[in-house]
Amino acid sequence: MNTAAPVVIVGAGPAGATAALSLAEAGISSVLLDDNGAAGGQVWRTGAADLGPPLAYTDARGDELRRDLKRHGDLIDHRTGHEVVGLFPDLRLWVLEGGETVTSLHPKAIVVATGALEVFAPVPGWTRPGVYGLGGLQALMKTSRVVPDGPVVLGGAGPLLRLVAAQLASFGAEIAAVVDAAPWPSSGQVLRLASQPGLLAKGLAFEWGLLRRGIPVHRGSAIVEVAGDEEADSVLVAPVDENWRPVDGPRRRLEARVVGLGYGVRSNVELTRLAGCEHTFSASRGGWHATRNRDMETTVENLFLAGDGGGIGGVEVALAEGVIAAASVSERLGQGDRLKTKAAKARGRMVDLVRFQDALADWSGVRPGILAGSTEDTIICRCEDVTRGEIAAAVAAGYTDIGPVKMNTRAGMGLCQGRTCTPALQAIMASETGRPLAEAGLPTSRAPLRPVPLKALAQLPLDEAVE
Amino acid sequence: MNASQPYDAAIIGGGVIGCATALNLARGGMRVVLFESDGLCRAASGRNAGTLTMLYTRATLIPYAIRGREMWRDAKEWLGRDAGFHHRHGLELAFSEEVAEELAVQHRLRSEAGAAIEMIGGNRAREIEPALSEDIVGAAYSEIDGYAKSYGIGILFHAALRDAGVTVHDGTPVLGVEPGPGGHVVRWAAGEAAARLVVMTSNVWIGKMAAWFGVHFPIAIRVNQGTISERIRPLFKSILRVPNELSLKQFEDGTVLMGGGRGEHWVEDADQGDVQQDINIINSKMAGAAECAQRVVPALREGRVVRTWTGYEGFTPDNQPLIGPMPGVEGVYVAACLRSGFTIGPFAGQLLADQLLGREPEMPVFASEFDPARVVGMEPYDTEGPSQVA
Repeated sequence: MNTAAPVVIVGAGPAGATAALSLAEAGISSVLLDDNGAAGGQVWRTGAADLGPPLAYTDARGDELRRDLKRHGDLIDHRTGHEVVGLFPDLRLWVLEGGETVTSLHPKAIVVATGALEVFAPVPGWTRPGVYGLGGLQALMKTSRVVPDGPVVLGGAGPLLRLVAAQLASFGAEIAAVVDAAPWPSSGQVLRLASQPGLLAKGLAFEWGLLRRGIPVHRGSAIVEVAGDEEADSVLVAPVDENWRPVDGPRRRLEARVVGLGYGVRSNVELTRLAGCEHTFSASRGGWHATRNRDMETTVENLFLAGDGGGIGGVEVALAEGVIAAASVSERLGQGDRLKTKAAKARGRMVDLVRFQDALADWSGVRPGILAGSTEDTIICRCEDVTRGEIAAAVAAGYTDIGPVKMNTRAGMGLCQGRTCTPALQAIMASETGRPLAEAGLPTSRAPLRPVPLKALAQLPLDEAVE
Repeated sequence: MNASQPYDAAIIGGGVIGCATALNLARGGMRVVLFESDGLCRAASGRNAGTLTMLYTRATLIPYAIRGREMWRDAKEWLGRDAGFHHRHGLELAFSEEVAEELAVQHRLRSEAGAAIEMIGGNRAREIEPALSEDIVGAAYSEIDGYAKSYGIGILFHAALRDAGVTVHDGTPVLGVEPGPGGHVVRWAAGEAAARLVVMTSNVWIGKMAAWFGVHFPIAIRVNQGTISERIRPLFKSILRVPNELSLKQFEDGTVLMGGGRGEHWVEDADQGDVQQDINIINSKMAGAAECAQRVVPALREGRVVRTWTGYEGFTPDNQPLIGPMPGVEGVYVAACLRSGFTIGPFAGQLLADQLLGREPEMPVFASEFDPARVVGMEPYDTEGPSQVA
């Protein structure tokens, strides 16, 4: 295996793949690691070619990206099915291959482009079979064209909510309703969203797709319960205030065999936390993310970060940041400034894109009442079966920081290591301590980031001499 | 209660020993304040594997460990809450006759001190624990072993301390202790408190804190690592140990905890930063733990690790605890570096409180072999030397 590549890029979504392609343009080789079977990340995820017609609203740029990566195969060593399970401040990486073997890499520069994770808001019954994350439902559609049987109700907020609804509907799924915590955007918000006419037009197309099919959209409402004997068979929908807290008003029960929930996305900070990067909280960027300078470098030298992992910006921002990160890496390696002009253009695009993102967050970004639908008995951490009441009890006992609360309750300490429950845990901490969400803290990341078989760990080189 | 009124006792260090001392002093009628820089039982007290064992407790401490284990078992009686105690058998394993003979020598001392430890052959060990490897030739066997849920102890102490009226300042690093009217003044960033007695139960931080009084305790700080698996089908029940490498247990939920790993790693300063980011330490610890665990229970091969963490253990030059008066300082006491601190902690807290309350402790606590003054001027523990347990 070629472990001598000077650059390792983690994540082959739009940001990471663009960084690899830009580096290749400058003649710099890189190793591009990704846990999926194909490049594209979540947003441009693809399935097998023989699945039939593409999904509605599919961005053709995903296929283009995959073609380009192949074409530059001489310089880009794209390794699929590789999960990075460790990243250390000295830029050493542990890579789990096919879930079976662990190898170690030690490049000169790293670009982290691991994107975003979905934000879940637990409500009573959310762990029932039949309840999915919006992203999970979409991934199922994209990779295997699985169309849910029976009425589907989707709830949450943000662009993904209506995109998934429109895509499912175009495949013939029976969408009973879309439940959106956000109200109609205000005229001011629409005006700001119009700063990116192309993106606004996309949003309107999803909206039109729902309207055309007569799919009801309940705005300013949230799913506050998923009911059923064992599997989900209905949801309870309640009106919410501007902070997404359920308020008095007519509640309706909707039949639902499949429930999709998702309140937007947050930066995936596992790797940057593990590497010891400094992080900051920004409500308009999906919460916590690593801080970067204008060259996309984190506070750890030679560790760069592009895309949603550095604060939620969406695919267009990710593409621009991939270019900028590549240009910075090229200069850092003393490989010249061939990417300088391209990076300058990308920086120019970023200004407007960021303005659009602010407007989007203003309209549909996570609000403090996100957990108001949960009760004492609602399970927050489904790996370890920890309820909201148990977490509240730990705070009441005197633990006001997230670390000790995790330690004592086991929330976030199970198989998924908090990938699912961290935002909920933070929201409960904030609500129970009366502190702002930004002060609820960020859990510690520990290697391995994904479960690794003992037999693979036992093979780890004890004296690191990988170069 | 008058805030400016001095406390009878200030405890610095909210691990098991500090919490238990505070609890018993308060129940004995004292006004008590407890300081902890992080959260209660968040350092070694919460990070250790929770094993309650005679098998690797030094012989001098065996009588104390027996009582400590009983107290965890009976936590409802004195803590008011169940501490997740489980009785298990303990097996210390030998892969060679040579190691088996060494174990026999070490355990003779423990048996003489009151621990019922029996040397058994490999086949008998596999009868007790069928999952064990065929390569094991012998074992030290203790019918009395077990564990408590170390990670969840802090929350229990929080509640008990509140019920007992102890003032808890957690998340509060103490900056110094100075002489004051009627005793001492404990100072932290946001305030100070007067106390007649000060009890320092700060384990690996005791060296730094003793320096406030001009006392030099040579403390060596070892990095220990815990590694936990996902839930695995039930494979074994006993608490297993390989000398100087690993302890191994499977909880009721199926997760397997591996404590230890290959090699010994030491740090100069417990505040130097996150050792978890030192790849060399966790690499050898985790790889060693994974390798050793499979050697002991081959069926663990397919199990997956989900998390690792580290904690510190403080070693005195002669590998015996520091329990007694701070040398040359009136009214300041030390209880640190027990190395079986989780097992013995509740009992040590009770003994220390009885001593300070003027009651007759159940066992000697200010014993000469524990006297902190003895280590002043000693060469630090030999971290390069052969590993020690007995």
